[in-house]
Amino acid sequence: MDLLDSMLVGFGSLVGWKPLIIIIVGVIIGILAGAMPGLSPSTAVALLVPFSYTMTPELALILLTTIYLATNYGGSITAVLINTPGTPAAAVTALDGYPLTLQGKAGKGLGTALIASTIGGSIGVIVLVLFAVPLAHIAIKFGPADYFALALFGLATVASMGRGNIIKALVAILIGLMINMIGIDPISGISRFSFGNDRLYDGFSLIPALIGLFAVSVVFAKAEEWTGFNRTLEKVGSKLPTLKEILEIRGAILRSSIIGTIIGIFPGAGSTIASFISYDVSKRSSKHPELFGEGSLEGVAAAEASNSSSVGGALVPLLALGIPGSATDAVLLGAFMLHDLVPGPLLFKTRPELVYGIFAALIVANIFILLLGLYGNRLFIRVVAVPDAILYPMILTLAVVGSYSVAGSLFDVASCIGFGIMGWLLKRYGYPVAPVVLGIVLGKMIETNFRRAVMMHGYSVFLKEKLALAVLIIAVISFLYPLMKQWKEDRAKRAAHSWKT
Amino acid sequence: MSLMERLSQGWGLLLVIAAGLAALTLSGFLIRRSSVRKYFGEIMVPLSVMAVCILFVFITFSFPEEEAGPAVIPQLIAFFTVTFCMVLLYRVAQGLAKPDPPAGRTGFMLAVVGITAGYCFLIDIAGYFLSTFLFLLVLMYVLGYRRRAVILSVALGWVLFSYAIFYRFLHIQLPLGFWENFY
Repeated sequence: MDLLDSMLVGFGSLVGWKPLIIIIVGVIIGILAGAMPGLSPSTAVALLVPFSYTMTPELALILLTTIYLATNYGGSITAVLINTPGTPAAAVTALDGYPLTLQGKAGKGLGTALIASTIGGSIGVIVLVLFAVPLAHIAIKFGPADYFALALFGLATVASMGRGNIIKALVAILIGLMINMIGIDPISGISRFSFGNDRLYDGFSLIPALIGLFAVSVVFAKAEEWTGFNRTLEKVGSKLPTLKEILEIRGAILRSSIIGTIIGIFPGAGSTIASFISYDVSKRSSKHPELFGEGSLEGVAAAEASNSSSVGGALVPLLALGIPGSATDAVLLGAFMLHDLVPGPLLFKTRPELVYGIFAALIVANIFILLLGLYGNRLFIRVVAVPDAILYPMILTLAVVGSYSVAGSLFDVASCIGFGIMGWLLKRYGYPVAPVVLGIVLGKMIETNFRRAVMMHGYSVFLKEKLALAVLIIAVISFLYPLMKQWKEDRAKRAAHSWKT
Repeated sequence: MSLMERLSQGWGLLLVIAAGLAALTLSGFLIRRSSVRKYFGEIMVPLSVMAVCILFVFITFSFPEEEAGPAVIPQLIAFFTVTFCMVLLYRVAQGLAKPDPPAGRTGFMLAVVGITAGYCFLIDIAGYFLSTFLFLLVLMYVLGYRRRAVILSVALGWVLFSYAIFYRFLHIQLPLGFWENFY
């Protein structure tokens, strides 16, 4: 009953034209950004965080979480139509979506993606509400040692689940943590690594760093491989999937929604992994596995339901514990900070209308995604066809306005460009950028909680506190397991190399 | 004052920075001329990160010494970073690392970076609106877009949109440069 009352408070905060307009704007921006190849959900949210600064915290966070949710559906549009996923997670949607377009059934592909996204997104939000609230109630008793361990666990899972070179992912995290050390020490108050520059006394501003690493770096990377290629989009067949076809794939939608939500809850797993796993599970349990990859509606539904439901899952650790579960969550954490809010258990006590307002807005956003998707797809497709030569300069100007607007400082703009160059360089040599951002965002939490715990109880606190110890052990295993795996792979490579020679 | 403390501030710190830069430049020069030049980035990125970490460690020697003080976490981070960077270098030495990706249009990319940097510089003088208009015209043209009417209308449209939404509606005080005198 308590939860229902709180949800009513949440829905009550949406009454009025402003929140509804914000949700619609968020859904439209999210779908468009998701549909543009090269603009990931984290890029889109990072670019728009600064513009939420003048809004009330409630409206700002409703806008940003709605964009986050809608980008996951938007990614499917170009995946289905031109075999170019708008978001990394939509790569799985393209496996069956594009063959449908080639068969002249683009409308069925987009329609299935839309319905599966809406159902998946709704299930994700329901699980978010059911999980986040009790978790927040438990987390209110956590001490500094527990928080340090949890934040470390968050970083560990992000590193371990990063594809490619695990050591580079770890170095990326450490670079982020090191950047976070610049500025006034939060406990002793002395200036660290600012080289006498008073603009660095507060460290680098978070928002310009996020925009630089996520958005500006994309433009620079694109410039390096510039071919002048422009997207040309097919006309969409208007035939949507029938009710019978949707009912036939209901199992895949429900199963994938649950898988996506559960995977989303684990920090670092993210929507891409959720989509691949759900697709694989659906293929194995399908009556027609031979159709997967050839234009199966079940395949499209599995991918889309799981990547949309993972959003709700990923918001669980962010809202309940203050630990970002994905790169976009890290950006959202930055948005909370911009509005002087700290997500976590206390927020449920101090600002319930805000937390439950976000839950309610996400439910309403799913309905708008369905409506706008049904009636607005043709328009979205036209907008998405904007040439890269126009799109990328506009991203840069948006990045400049965004980084300037945080503190009205051109130093922030310069640091945004600097972070853009850094992001481009890191990506070029195979270092993922998302762990850098997580390092920057979680750095303060890790340092202050570690030092507070040690100051209060000494270094042995991490052995005495059971929860902290358990989480630390899991975190160490999460760090060590992929390292061991890579070491074994390296050994096998070396053996194969010496055998050849 | 110990040697480490001397090197952690003032002229001592400048000496450390200069030595680090010289070592990095020399390393880059030697790698370019050696048989491992196809691993240039694979070697130089960890080396640069290690150099920054070592610099940070030197600086921590000037911090007050106390239990769980301001130096503890930076030193721990630097220790792990240097360790992992050395593993990356070891992988290159063992032939386990992938060679650098082929160079793309680096000159073109640097031109885009240069135009963007020039734009940031111009904002301070000419203000956001004029410099954004010019930036969009130049960058769209450089990126190969040739429909002049579209370029002009996009640049002008974006400036008007920025004025209406960012400046008027969201009250973002965008820099006006010398136009401020006319307001």
